[in-house]
Amino acid sequence: MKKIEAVIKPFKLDDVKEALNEIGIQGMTVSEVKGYGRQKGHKEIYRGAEYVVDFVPKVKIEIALRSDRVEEAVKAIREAAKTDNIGDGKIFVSPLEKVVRVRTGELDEDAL
Amino acid sequence: MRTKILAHELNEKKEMLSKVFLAKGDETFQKKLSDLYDEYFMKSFEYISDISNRLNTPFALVALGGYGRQEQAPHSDIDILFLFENKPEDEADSIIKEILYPLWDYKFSIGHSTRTISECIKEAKSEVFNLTAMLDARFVCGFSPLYLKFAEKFRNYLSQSPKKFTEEIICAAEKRHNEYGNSEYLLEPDIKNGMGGLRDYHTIRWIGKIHFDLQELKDFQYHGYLSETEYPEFIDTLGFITRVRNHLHFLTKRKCDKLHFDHQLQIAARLGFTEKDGKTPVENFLGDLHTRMNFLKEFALMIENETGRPKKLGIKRIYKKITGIEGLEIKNSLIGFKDSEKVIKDPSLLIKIFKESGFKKVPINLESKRLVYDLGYLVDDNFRKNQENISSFEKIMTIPYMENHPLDSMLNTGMISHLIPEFAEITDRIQYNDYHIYPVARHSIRAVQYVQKLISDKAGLKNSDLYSSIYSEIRPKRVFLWAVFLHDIGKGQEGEDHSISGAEIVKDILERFDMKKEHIETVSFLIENHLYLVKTATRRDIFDEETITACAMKIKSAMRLKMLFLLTLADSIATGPKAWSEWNESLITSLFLKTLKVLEKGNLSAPNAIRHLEKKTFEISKVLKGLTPDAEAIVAKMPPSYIFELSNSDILLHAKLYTELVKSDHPFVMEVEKNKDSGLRRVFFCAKDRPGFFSSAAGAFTVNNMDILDARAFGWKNSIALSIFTVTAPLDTVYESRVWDKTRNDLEKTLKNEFDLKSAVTTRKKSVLNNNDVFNAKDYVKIDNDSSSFYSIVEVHTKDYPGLLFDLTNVLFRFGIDIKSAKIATKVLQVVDVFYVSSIEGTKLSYEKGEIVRSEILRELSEIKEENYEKN
Repeated sequence: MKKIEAVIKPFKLDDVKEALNEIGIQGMTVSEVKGYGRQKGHKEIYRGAEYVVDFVPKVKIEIALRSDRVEEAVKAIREAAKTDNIGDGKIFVSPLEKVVRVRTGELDEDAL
Repeated sequence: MRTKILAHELNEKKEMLSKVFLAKGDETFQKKLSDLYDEYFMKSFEYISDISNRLNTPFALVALGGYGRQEQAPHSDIDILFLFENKPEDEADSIIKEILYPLWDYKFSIGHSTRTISECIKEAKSEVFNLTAMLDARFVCGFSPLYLKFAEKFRNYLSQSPKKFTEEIICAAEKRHNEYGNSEYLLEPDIKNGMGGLRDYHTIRWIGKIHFDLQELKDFQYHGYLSETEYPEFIDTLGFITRVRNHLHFLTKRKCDKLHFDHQLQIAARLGFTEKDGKTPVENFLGDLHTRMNFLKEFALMIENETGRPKKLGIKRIYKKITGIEGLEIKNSLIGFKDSEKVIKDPSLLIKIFKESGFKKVPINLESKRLVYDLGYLVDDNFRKNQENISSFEKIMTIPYMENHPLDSMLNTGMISHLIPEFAEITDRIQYNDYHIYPVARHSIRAVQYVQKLISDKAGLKNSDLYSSIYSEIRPKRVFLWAVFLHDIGKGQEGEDHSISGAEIVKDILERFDMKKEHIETVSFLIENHLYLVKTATRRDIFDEETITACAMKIKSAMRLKMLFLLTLADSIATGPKAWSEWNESLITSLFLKTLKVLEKGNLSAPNAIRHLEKKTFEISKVLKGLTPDAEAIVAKMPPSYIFELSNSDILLHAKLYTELVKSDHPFVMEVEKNKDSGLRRVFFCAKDRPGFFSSAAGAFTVNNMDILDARAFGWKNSIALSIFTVTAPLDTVYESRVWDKTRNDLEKTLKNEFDLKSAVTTRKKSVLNNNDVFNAKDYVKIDNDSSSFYSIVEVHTKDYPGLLFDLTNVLFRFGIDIKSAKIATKVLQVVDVFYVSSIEGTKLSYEKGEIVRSEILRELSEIKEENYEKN
């Protein structure tokens, strides 16, 4: 099992959600996050005063899924989240040790 | 256990009692339930007399808290105190077990304590919560002299410092309000702990106990806190909220005091609310509940004020407040009408009283509020056209504090609906979604209040200085405030988009007030678009120039943008915590600042710029449609700044070149426009965008002995680069076309890396550099990262020489910098070249990179001078 974390531009959330739904992935956790990568923060000026936006608002989605589905999920996210500009985001994939469904106590792939 | 049978009996009786309540309602349910508990304790006390007799210390059972007040809600705790004369022995444990275990077995929830009298006083000292529980103490059974002794000691303790205890109780109430939401108008109110909830009634009851040894509720009237007409209203209010609480407990089968949406529907039905005035039963129910919670809150506040609110507010009361308004008076720290006759003669008092109350911070007395309610019919069209009345209302909208805002009392007394009949449609209107925590009318009031809060640094918002600086630029403020107040006025209309219907409704309202037409249009525009910034910020790429331009074109004026921005913030915050976060705030603020820059500094900042742009776009499309079927698609690719800066004929020429480029396999197409009279040529390029094209083109002119006087570069949205160079005519005008062919050829070869343009330019430079002026030229390079939201601006001031443009753009090309647009202007020999550039990643240059580019350009320019110096 793997866990995918994707940090994307906020306005791309619907597109990514749809793309994942299309390949049959429905469960995900979405959070509003802030951060920066190569994009850095940016600076806005108003009447001479600076308003530094150190962190850029992003959306993070997290999905747990079977290892054999990772490739297509990553591809779907990437295609949907792409604007070809800086700050499009990143996708992280990591191994997942254990999953438990709270209600039933089912384990691992049954719980996905 | 012997007492088990008693608990069983109690349980059955409680069920019976509950059934009766649910079937036909019972005003005395709580008292009866408390009596049942009394009965249980008395009987069980008798059952265990054998054990008690063995004890060497007498004891009594004392009811505390709600049980002490005989106000026992179905699932509330039974608060019972085992009061002992002396510290009890172990035997006492078995007594408590005998009495309480059976109750636990039947799932009653109990709060019990075992104390001696001195322990009680100690507990009361340590915690205000214990103090108030004991204020409600009531003897149930056992050794009564012991209870009397306790009661006397406790009263003595209270009399030591009634003021201090009152203050502690009020502080606790304030803390509770902050925790449960500082408003009595929440969509999901906590009817016990929330503002205007039952705890507020308990609070004043405790204060009454401390101040005048309150025995029954009628004492409030006896001591002058309630009038003869208000007392029944008070009792009625308590009865209503209590009833709601009973139902809520039965419904949830537990101690639950927060009234969630799903419970409201059922309780509204159980209480017999029906559809009325076009509102659903639940809307009528909640409206009724809000009115009553407001009554309770105001009554509690009045008593707290009278009996000693803690210092921070107390200081202000030292100065006796007076009013200078004829027909009003301030008495006992409350403002009111002198008499009703005066109001009938001068109806404007109906609004003045709220303004005066707000600015003097004196609450309005209940009688005057009732009078406003009764005399509301005096508000007619003449009243609404009277500019003094309107301006009074506009002033009220600027009152900066949140609690006891006059707008709230104006809504409660129906004054707002008299002034704006359309407002009645959204009063008590519930908003069923995850975001809103207030009904529409309260939300509207909150939004107005939040405008003032946004701009005060007290609110602790990170950007409050930005907001206040924007607010200070807004003109006219009243127009903006009307838009905030009425932004949701369309929510009374069913099924329509409330922004659109609101934009229509508001026109009628403001025409009635005789507002200027242009101002009405502004308000209407703001209402229609009050969700636009939020939608754009969260659903579009705000780092894309196109988004910002579209936003600027929609809003059109910087003033409207500022208004819309603050309206958006106030609306979001007033909606509730789910609609507002720092995350949202930074997105919306970025969108605002970027758009403002376009409207204030960009091409679109000129008067009528947007109309002009729309007109041009239309004309270009029209002509182009006659030439190519792809006209629409081509025009859509042109950025506004491009359309703006070029003449229609230039743009059409580019479009024609573009259609040729698409068909050809060349990297660019070029066309020369001749002007026989001036000896100048304008050369148009359309090319597939690639780094260095602009630079190479400049070089190609130089090697073919043409001086560049002006050059412009643009990009379309589909990576097509357009440029126009104005150059001196070739020396040989007879065989001019040969020169152009060679230029085209040189450029094409350069792009294919088959021609060393740089050395060819250097050769050409050396042959002509001989102008002494060049020595005295002072070079100046500026990198401006602030003026544009998307690009760095490189500005170069220097003396002209052949090949200058090639040199400059070549430096930029070497550093991987993309030229988005360029303006080259030559005046005699002085040159000002301005390049809008970005890094290959599409961002502005970092400070460090900018500095490197700057010094590299200066170095390049000084090298030229040295070469020239050597030559001379």
